[in-house]
Amino acid sequence: MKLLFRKFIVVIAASVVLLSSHFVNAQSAGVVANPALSVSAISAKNAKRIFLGKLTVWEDGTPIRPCYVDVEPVISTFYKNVVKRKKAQYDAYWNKKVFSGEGVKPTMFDSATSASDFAVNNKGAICFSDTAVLGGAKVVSIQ
Amino acid sequence: MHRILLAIAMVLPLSAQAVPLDKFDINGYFSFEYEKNVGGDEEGDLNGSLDADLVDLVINFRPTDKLRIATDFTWEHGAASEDGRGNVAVEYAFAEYTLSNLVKVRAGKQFTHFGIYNEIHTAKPATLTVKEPLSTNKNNKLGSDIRFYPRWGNGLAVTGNSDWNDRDFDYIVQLTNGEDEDEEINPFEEDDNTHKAVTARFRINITDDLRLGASTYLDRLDFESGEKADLTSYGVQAEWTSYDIVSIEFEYVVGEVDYDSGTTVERDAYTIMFSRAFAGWITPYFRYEYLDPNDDIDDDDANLMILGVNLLVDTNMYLKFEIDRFDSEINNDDLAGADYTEFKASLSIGF
Repeated sequence: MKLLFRKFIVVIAASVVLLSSHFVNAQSAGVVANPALSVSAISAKNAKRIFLGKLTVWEDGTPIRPCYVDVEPVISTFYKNVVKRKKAQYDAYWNKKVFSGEGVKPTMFDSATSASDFAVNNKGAICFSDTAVLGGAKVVSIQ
Repeated sequence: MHRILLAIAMVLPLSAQAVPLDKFDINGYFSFEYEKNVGGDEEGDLNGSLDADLVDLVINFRPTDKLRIATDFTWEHGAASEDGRGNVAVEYAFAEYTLSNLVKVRAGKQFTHFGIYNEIHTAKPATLTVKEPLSTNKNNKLGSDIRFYPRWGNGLAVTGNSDWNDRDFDYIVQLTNGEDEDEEINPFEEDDNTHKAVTARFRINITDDLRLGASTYLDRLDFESGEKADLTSYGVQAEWTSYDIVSIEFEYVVGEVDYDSGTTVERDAYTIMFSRAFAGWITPYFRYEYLDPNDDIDDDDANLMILGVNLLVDTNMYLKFEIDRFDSEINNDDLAGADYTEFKASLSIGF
């Protein structure tokens, strides 16, 4: 009985550890970017402009390559605090821009790891993701 | 030495370098429509027609960080070229090079960037209503001889955006061949006169919710009859986008066609639309359109009232239902006093 109880505790503990690696802490939702990027902080206004396609080039002339992660709670923070639009409104906004030829929507990833890979491998890349998963990308703070 | 190099070159395989897929973005949209006259004079669609309206592929290719090739290919109304049915077309195909946020240069076939609706008129998932406004965008269907501006232009453009006093703005200036009234000349390949058409638009966000804009189109027309004319159009626009209260879109266009033979046709039109989203997916809308095709002719006006609802039934999938009420005066060239009502419905999907 005691052995069974110990095994039960071990299984529960292992499950918690495994599951927790898939949960993003809302506190760590933020911006990761290409490590060669010269900026370490951007304003909230410019963050919004980037993800609405209104700011497309960094000051040094490097084109901006934005991306975001569609995983909770990152995506809720992205819609509410960064672009200040609900998902349907954000999709509708980009429908107009993409279909009229005015731009390309930020790339969407379903994991923070993929977003970090994108940020590391693309000059000028900036992603709204989980800053606890960097994979070589750098954190850029939103002021 | 030359023979050795030649031998090496002949042995090396010629290969077509595959382009990485991450440099392509493929999007598109689909539209299926129905419309029927449900009352009034016998105008519009009397039979009730199902229309395989369109499917478009929007492809962006970025060969370098600063270069983008933007294209939109369309297949409309069930295109079947063997039977001469439907339409296959390039809505736009241009190269864009980014010099800075403020300066991007384009070359190729483009939409005429005038007002609110022209560049999104085919992108049905991007518009609330089944069709774009007729009064300002297709005034030749409501009594005018000539549109305020053509749908497309082939040529060059400079565009960009920035901010002034923390207010975002954007602009575009296009230089194109202009419209050809001679049907044998393709304006996307050849100009029918020495004049180039100019389009210009400036838009600024006064607040986060309110954007104002102004547009102009200037062109020189050569008709098959030998007549020539200067086409001038000006427009102003206002868009109030509020997700919690009513959204409003307003556009006013005024212009003239000044014929060398001495006649001048002055015309003006406006459209205003109110909409409000409920529960994130139900958006009722009301639009009123008005056109005076010729200020010098009495009783030739036309107007259109639209009451409808747009339902977001799945991600980027919209159902639209509306009642369109057309009213015209006796001297209107197209409707000649006809008053009628049409029911319209559509399925629009973006992907």
